Amino acid sequence: MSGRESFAAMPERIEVENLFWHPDPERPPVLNRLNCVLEKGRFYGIIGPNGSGKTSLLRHLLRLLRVEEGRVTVNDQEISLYRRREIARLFSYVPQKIEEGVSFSVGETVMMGRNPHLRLFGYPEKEDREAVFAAMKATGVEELADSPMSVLSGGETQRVLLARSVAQACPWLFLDEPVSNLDIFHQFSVMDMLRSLNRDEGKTIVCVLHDINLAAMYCDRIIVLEKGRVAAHGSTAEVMVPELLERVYGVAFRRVGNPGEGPRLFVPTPGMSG
Amino acid sequence: MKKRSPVLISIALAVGLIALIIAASSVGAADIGVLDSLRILLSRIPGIGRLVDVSRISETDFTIVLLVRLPRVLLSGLVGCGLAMSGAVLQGVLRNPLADPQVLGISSGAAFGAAVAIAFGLSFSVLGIGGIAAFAFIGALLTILIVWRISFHGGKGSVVGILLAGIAVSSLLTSVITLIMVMQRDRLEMVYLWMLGSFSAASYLKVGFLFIFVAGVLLLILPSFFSLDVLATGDDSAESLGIDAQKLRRRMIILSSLAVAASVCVSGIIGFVGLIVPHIIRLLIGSRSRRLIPLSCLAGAIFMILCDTLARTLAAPAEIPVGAITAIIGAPFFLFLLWRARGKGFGG
Repeated sequence: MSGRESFAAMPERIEVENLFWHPDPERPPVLNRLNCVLEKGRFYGIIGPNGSGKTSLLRHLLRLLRVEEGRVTVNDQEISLYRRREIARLFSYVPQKIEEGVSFSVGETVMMGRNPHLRLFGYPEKEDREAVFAAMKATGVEELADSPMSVLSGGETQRVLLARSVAQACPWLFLDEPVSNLDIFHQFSVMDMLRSLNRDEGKTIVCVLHDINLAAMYCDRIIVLEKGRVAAHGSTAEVMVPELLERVYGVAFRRVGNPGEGPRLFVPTPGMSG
Repeated sequence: MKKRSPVLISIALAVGLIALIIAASSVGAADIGVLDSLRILLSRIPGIGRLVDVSRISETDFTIVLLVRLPRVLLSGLVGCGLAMSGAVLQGVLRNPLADPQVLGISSGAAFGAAVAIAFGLSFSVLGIGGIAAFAFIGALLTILIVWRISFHGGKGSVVGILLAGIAVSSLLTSVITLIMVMQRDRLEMVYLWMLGSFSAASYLKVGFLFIFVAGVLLLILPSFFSLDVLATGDDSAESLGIDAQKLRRRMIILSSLAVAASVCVSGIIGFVGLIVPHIIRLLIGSRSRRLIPLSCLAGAIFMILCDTLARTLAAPAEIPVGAITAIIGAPFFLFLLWRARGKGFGG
């Protein structure tokens, strides 16, 4: 067993080489020879228009999709060589939603985050219950603990899934539009929480975002995807320029704010698209 | 709906099951009191047996309770247990509240096997398991294998796919059974009665056979209770939490199919139990497998013993097909629960 455990060392970097994914021959490839490197300790924002491959990239990084062409390596090891349980102790995933055909309570759902840590028979121990309680408190869902998932609002669901991911206690967190259903207050509270996980606990955050201004405000690295490729990748200041965003999104942007005076935001200008 | 205390419900169901086994053993054409059948049953339990006074009870009563009624009660209980357990598992892994042993074609496969055996007059018997039961068992397993191969060819496939494949294969087999019945008119009634389900041919051998399957499957599912819950939240979600969704689903479908095949081959097709019992338990205590599956087993056993006792007594000396009773009692009760839980969603 010790060999297995040492194999799953702390991931320093994930490397994606020529990742190609073309599930539907009638349509263009979803991921078209995509290259990028993700490094430990950063706060990544993945942005790009609908259908640019953001979620597909995330699913490959988490081994939820098998790499068909190209390579995804974690610490220079092919990701397919990792066991699922190993990955689940290193990388946690906040999906946009989960299935609700069978409904569990909020507390039960957050406890599922402990799955990769549970021993045989999956019986939660004191440590697991404490981790679940702490995660629910941190995400502000502890009062919902006994509510069924089926009665939650979209925003509450997203916070519960975030809580589940926090309970999973992984060094890397991958999030697929974690704030898209939240009001502005909760958007900031979730992003603040991710920032504190990144800065105070050294977690690596990889976050797909729709809102480019949230990305500009919180992320230190931005990956812009366009038609299954990386259009730009670098520090937020380098990448977030109106010219690039206009080209990728097909909408004109005006930048507001001055350099050195907090985040510089982008105001889309209507009537100038195309 | 407010969840009841699961501990209280478990105790109530366990006590109810034991009481029902005793009561059902005293019901029937021969007039044997509940106390007498309790004495007869207790006298056979090692250790307690010597303390029970059975000197007044006739030899005939012993025979009726121990050799006629008890095996039937135990067999019906085990069938109810197996069907309800499988239903609970299948609803979870297929994430569909309508999934039950019938939807996957397991029952039609068994009926097809039985119809073939009856049509060709295969009435041999191996170790007390007749040719019809053996064919039913094989038919059930072959069917689920085919359904699985079609819907998950090469590791790809969807949950909806397996349900659709199950329904298609099921209708196909049902038509073939109809053909067999038409072509072998003299055996039509036999096939039809088999398909309606009955426990009239119960024996301890069948009880032993089914016990091995139901208990064995339950033991093999036991370590996966928590994983089953996680799987119900979606394949991506489960895999990101360290579970191989497809592997777990395949294992669970095979195991529950074994339990269903073993149940159906000794009893014929009994619908509704695998569908409604798990739902009733869900509405009472929620969807966690750790509670849902064991309690579905208990409740399934109770429900089936109750239905079979009614089936053999209501129109005595004639028997009503037990499948008709399960639906007549089950459907309205289930509708009532749905009405009470309306707008809350399944298990919510």
